Amino acid sequence: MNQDQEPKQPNGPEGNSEQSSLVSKLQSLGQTNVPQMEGSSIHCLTIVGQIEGHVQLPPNNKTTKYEHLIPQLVAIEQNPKIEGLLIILNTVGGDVEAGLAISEMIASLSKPSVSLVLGGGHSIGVPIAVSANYSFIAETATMTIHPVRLTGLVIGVPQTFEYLDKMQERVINFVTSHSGITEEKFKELMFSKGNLTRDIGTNVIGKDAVSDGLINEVGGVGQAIAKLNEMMEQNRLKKTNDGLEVIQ
Amino acid sequence: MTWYTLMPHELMFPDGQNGQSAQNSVQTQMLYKNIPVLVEQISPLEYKVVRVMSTDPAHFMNDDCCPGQILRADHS
Repeated sequence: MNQDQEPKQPNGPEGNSEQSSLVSKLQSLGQTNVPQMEGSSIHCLTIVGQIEGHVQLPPNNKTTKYEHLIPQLVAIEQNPKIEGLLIILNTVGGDVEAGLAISEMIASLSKPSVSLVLGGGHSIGVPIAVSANYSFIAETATMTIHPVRLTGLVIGVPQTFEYLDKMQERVINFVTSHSGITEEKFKELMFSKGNLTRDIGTNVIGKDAVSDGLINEVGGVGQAIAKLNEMMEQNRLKKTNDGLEVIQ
Repeated sequence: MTWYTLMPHELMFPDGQNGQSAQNSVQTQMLYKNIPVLVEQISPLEYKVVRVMSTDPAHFMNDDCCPGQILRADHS
């Protein structure tokens, strides 16, 4: 951990000084300043509820918005004080495009990332869970894998079907290329009958997700942070070695 | 718009609409002591913290901006 680290938040106020001067006037009623805490070298991204993309959902939905997550991921990538990312997932799914965008962002980070599925990481939560360098799932957590389908207005033309099929192919490709599961196995889980009440697909629980190769390990927050620290240490060593080679 | 979710469509859109109602028109994101927070305006000068939007775990230890806290705009 950096001892002299300023608790500067990643997407800092540079560039929007007008806004920050306005909001810096905000003060909590009758409370004094707390001592500033040292920042952490591990940052944590929590993805809860629905993943909201191009369409705003009605207020009864709990959502995680992609316009909030993407700048945070950029900030995590560019801030040298942040050395690792922990992603905590408890999501029911959401917008395919937004979910894949977040997954691609996490997968392309140069810093080590560890994901932890707690409760549920369903539908589009599956690619997000596997996008990290290493993934954990709680023993009781579940992941539902089912086909992508169109809700709302459906025009019964072959193009609609092809479009959906391509959408589904994007999800399958991402998951199979970022985890240990084979395409055949993933498709088998996705199209199996008799497991879900209203749908075809499979509800994969903790250990099963690991034995299918979808997730790396069963564990909780302790194991996830330990793994992340280990990966961060390796990253630091690699950087030092690279530096030495340059000097020589 | 393609949804890939477990949530049934009728639960996501209870009144049959297709998501045109602005969800968080009263919610805005702002910085409180350099911590990004999602707030809801409850009176012209008061904002209630809905969610801490930071990724820094240390920011969640700050009592001043825990969800539910009321922040007051100080115009002095």
